[in-house]
Amino acid sequence: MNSYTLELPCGNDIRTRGRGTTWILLCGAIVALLMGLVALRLYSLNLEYQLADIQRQIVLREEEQSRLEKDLAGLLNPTRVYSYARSELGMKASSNIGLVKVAAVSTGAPVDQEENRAGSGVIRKALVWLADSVSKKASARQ
Amino acid sequence: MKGLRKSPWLLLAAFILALLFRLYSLQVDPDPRIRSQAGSQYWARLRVTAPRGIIRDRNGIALAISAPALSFFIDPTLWDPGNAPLLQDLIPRSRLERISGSIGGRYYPIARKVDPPISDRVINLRLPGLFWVKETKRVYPQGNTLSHVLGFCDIDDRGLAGAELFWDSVLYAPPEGRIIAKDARGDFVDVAIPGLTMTADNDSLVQLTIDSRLQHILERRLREGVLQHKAEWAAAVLLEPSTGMILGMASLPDFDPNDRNTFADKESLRNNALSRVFEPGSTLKPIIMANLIDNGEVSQSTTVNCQGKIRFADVTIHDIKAHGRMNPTYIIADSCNIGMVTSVRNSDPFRTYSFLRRCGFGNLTGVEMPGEESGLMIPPSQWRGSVPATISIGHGIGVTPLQLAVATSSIANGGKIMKPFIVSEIRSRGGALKYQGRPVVVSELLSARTAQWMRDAMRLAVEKGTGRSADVPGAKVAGKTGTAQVPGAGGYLKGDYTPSFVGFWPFNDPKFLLLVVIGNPRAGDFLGGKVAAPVFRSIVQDIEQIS
Repeated sequence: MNSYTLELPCGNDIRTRGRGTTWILLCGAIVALLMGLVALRLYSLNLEYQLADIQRQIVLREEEQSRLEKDLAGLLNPTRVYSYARSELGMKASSNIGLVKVAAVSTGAPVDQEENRAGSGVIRKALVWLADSVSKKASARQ
Repeated sequence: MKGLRKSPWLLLAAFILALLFRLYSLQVDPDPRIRSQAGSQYWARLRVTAPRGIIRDRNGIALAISAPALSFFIDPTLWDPGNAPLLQDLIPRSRLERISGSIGGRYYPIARKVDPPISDRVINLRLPGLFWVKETKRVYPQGNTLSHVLGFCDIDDRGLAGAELFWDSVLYAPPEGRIIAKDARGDFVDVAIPGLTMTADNDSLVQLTIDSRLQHILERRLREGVLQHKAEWAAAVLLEPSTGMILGMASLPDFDPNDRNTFADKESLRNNALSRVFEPGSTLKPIIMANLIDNGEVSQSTTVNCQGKIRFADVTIHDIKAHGRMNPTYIIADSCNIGMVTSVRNSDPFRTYSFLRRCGFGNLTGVEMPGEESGLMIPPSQWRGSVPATISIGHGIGVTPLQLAVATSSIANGGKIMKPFIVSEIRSRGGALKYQGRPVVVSELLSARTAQWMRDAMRLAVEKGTGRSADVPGAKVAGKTGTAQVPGAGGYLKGDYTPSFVGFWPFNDPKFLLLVVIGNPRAGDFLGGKVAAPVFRSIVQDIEQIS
């Protein structure tokens, strides 16, 4: 039995040693893989924390936006604008208002453009004067 | 003997087997309670309150929005009643008294939907056993403005009145559950379901046709009129007669939807523009007369002699004075009762009734608002005695201000009854268009010629007739005054009147139609031309300055 054991060929020993190295490399690779997976998980966890933080910031900004929209709507309230204009800016509404409707001045042919422009300037001045005088009268009546 | 010697090993083996079995059952198939307890350490189901959609005016100004608010509760097992005085003036008194003593259970709400300034103060107290959850609170930034149209919500954000109720299915978003992963410290790490966030969005929208600036003018001027004449109620409707688009709708008394204490008076919750049925009086005359002319029962050259009173069936109908001989134009301009009664003397009641139904009286207009009344119309089979005569002068028929405005619009727009609409568009969550308000012709009521003639007659009423105090130089207002008595048990009530004025401008191509009704004025005059017409004029002046 012993002699049989001693007669083992040397090549088998070499093969056994080679297999051991393979096993070690394989184990190393598996360990490296597992460590990589752990690292990836840790990295994803870190990203999830960042994501949660961004989510929280989004929620806060959305709440702030809602509040700002509420404030804006309150500021645009015509009742507030009107009372502010009256109490703070001294706006006074006339009790007897007359309306002057000004028709749109139509542009003529290209040849008469200069003439029309000059004419419309005179008309505009006249209308402005008329509107001013009417509004002064309205204020005077008040 | 040999078996006995081996028995300790057998017992040990059995014990190890039992242990392995128990271990297996705990690890692979645990008790559901243990499973949920373990799960709660890693997962949380969060209740997320979604805000209601926004209501905007035609210019995009927010009229009703949801703003963040906090609701506070205590866990009585962790709460120290000695801390209760610290919450004084921050939570309702009844709740404060309750948490000053011992309470059972694990949950006791102390304040719901608290606004940020106060909620921040409560949080900063850092009281043990006091917790809070985020919710949203319905806010109406414009206060009383348009309160009847907007309505209000209950504490759980369900619509109870107005547009909030009518469009609740679009605006309301139920609370949603979110599954969130937690870390070992109990902090939220991520949202487990992709595409979902820790907040719930609701971009649903109800856009009204109302212009807040015009609405403000209506309400301000109407309030001035009510205060001046100490009236009990008032209503005003501003329409675009060519389309039926409602630009403004005011009702007094009103309420502040942000303040529930103002809901106590039931009359203030009523939208008088839709729900108040009143006898229109002389503001109905143009519609009745237009029908008579359209039917050929009265021609524009027909004259009647007004002697100040007339006997019709069992009653004597009076006029303010004897107008003498008048044609239909002056019957309208001077609001002559005798002229109207004489004109309808030979009319067919069934035909008149059918016409009034086509005007929309006795029917709901179909405006997108809850609480609308259909009015009161006696069937023509019961039009006995003086009924046809009284209806011709606007008594014996009950209408809502909106119905009267819509019917008068037919004169302004060339003879068409338009369906009134107050909603421009509705968008559901996600932005899909769900509804769009469009002009709808309900019926062709009058010929264009008759409508044109009646516009001229109503212009004359403002220039030279009873509606002179509604005239605004340059605006070319046409209109009609009305002063109706108020029916009560057993007859008309003494001293109760409903003055009104309905008009449109510019009369040859009307852009606006406005009806002003003042209910039961107690101070000063009671005539439509003295009470409602000046309010009408002031509104027209203000609108013309900004339009």
